Amino acid sequence: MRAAGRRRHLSAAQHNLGSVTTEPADTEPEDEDSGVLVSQIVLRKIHEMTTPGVAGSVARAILSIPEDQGKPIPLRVPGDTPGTTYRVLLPDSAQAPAVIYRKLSPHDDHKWLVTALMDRDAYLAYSGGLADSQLVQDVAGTVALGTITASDALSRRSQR
Amino acid sequence: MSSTNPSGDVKAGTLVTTWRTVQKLDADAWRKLRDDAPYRFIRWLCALGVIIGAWDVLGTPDHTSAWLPVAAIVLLLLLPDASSIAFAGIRFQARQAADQAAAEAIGKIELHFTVARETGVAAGDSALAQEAPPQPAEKALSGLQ
Repeated sequence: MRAAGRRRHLSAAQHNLGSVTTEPADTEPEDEDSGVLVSQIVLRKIHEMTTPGVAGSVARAILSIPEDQGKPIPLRVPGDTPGTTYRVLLPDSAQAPAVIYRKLSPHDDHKWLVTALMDRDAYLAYSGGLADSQLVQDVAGTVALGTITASDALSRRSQR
Repeated sequence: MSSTNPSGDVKAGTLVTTWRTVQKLDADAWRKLRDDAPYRFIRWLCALGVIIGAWDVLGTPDHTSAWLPVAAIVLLLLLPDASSIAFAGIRFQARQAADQAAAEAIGKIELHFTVARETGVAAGDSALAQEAPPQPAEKALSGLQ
């Protein structure tokens, strides 16, 4: 459906009236038509996958995001505005990690941002009841802050 | 004035040896020997033999108390096979069952921490998702489908 929309969009852009070419005012670059952005961290993890078929399975899941609405996941992300909702998609390969994404703000050109990949078994256990555990939430919060701090330290070191 | 007591040293040595022997009895090898099928079967046979023998010798007893020694012997024979016994508020739990319960508890704690770590990493990655400019999915994943 999205691809058909893009085809219509391109044919309108290429329509010639004699020597005059008409273009719609809201023309967007071709590579921004997917509506889905992927973070650099996720891309790096996908490219590091060595098991055959797993990276492709994750890629297909990511590209199906607007049509295939995932399940909400209660994820406490430091620095997020209240009400930010994350969703999860499980790729078709049983070895592939869960894809975590969220909606972008209405001002953004894109609709979705893939923010993280999560170990599939861990996600299933988390969504199966461990999300309610205070211990899990506390440890997860500490690990998240540690991840952010470590990343900040690395970026500061690379800037020197 | 210092005095040495050779008999005291011998007693201490005997105590240490006894303690080490007791520790060996608690070792895994001993537990395996205790739980092996042939020994378990022999204990069951002995218990049955005691009951039949006692019945043959004592006949039908006039009082229940006459069977108490028999019951005590049978209980001692079957005790190693019991995973747990609760009587009058006192609970006896066999080492094997206790180990199993401890392993299950450790497994649960391990699962909690593994899930928490993975969730934390996902949350951290999500917080950093826009630190570096994200890429459009179709372009970035075009070669992987």
